[in-house]
Amino acid sequence: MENASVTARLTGKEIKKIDSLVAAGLYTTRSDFMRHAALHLLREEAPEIPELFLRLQEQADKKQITKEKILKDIRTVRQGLYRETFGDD
Amino acid sequence: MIKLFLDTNILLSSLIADRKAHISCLSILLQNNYQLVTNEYVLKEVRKVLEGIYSYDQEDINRFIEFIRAKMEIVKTPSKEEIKKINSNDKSDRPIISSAQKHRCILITDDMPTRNNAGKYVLALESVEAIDLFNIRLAKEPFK
Repeated sequence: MENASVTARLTGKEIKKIDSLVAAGLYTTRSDFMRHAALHLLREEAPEIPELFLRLQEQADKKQITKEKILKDIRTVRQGLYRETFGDD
Repeated sequence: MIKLFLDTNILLSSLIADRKAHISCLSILLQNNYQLVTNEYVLKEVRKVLEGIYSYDQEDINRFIEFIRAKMEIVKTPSKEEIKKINSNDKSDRPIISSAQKHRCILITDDMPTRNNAGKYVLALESVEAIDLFNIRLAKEPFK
């Protein structure tokens, strides 16, 4: 796969911090810093997570799960779980 | 640091691909600007809804809950004594409100009765309010 550029908007404060790291010689350029930051996050995230979320979302779509349905279903479950955990007090 | 207690509906909102109208669990989890908290009671609810009502695959449910555990601070379900201090119209909301109060969190919920009940004890916000207030950036639509 070919290399590609991505644009990221950062605050002035964040840019200042990056610039001081570059000035200190820890990274060669802002771009170099961003590449290291991205690689660090990519190492941290389990590779199967995006697929998991896309799969869950696809199923939710098929099951026609809406925000309203989620709220209603949670209410039903919550009342049952409360009784199960704390009794009928 | 600001601590946000995420109610069950916020965690489950990440199942809906259209994230325009509500906060995305993924969006906030990946931003790392806030300490995110929930409790074991909420995780039990997540499991019961996904398993018992929506019949999701067991392995996927486990992975989803593992992901939440890895990204958030999970506190214990409050005790019976602790929840008795909370006066709520629907008593089943008490474990949520109690934990948010005990751990000094802002409660994020899109359930209006829960939000109204919690208002006496904690700052409670809807997801859209939290997005505005904390300048939370929404995740983009997934790549097709």
